[in-house]
Amino acid sequence: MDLRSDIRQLMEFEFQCTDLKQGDPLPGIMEQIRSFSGIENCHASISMILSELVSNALDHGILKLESSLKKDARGFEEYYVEKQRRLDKLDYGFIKVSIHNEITEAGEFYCISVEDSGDGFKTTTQLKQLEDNIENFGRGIQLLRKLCSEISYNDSGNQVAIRYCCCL
Amino acid sequence: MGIQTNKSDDGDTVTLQIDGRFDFAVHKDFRDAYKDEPESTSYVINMKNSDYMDSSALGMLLLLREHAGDNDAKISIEGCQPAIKQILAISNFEKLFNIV
Repeated sequence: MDLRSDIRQLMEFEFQCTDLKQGDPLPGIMEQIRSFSGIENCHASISMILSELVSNALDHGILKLESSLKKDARGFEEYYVEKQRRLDKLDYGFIKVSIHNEITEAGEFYCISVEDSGDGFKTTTQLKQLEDNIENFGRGIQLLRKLCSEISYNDSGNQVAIRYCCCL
Repeated sequence: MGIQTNKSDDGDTVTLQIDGRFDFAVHKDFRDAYKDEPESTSYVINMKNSDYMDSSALGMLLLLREHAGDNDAKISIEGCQPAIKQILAISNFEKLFNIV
């Protein structure tokens, strides 16, 4: 039996290269999604999930930055300097974000999908490496796995979809 | 928005109050608050005015912990809203920090 009911609200965002250069797209998305009715209880968790998904898309998907740079305080700094440098030089790229909520018998869910214009990654091997990671970097995907009830990637690894149960 | 830093009269404890989003945007203020402190300093991270953190904030907390002596570090994280508490819990930060 399919428990999924009708989508109640849907929002879509698209950020082109020029938008991405103008600054972090996240605060804008966070503000917009406040208009989802009933999101107050899980706004912080959804903000975090979105932040991880969008920053992974931009940092790793489009700008091809390595998280391992963030292993110490200096690297942390360098990572963001390098991010800005690559962003300034970027001449093509996009991020598409889609968010909808749905009510099922199991509760209220938010479904988020993020696609980037990058080459993707080898989902099976690279995700395995992150599993037992205890470093200062690479925590984003671990967090996503724990927060979300479902997380899936397309074959080429440039699109991710998650389902989050708003039942904190 | 940002970080307010306060030092106790005896100089042993530094309190960092995070206002607004706890993310990379505050990393410089966050680091400046502790980088010249000796390893023995205790820290209180006051989260009551913050409703958002991301994984770079988790990274920043770990760097502070390293600076403050790793397993000997004395760091409390206070005033967390439920969602923040959940994020710290699923990151196993309860083992590394005193979350009150």
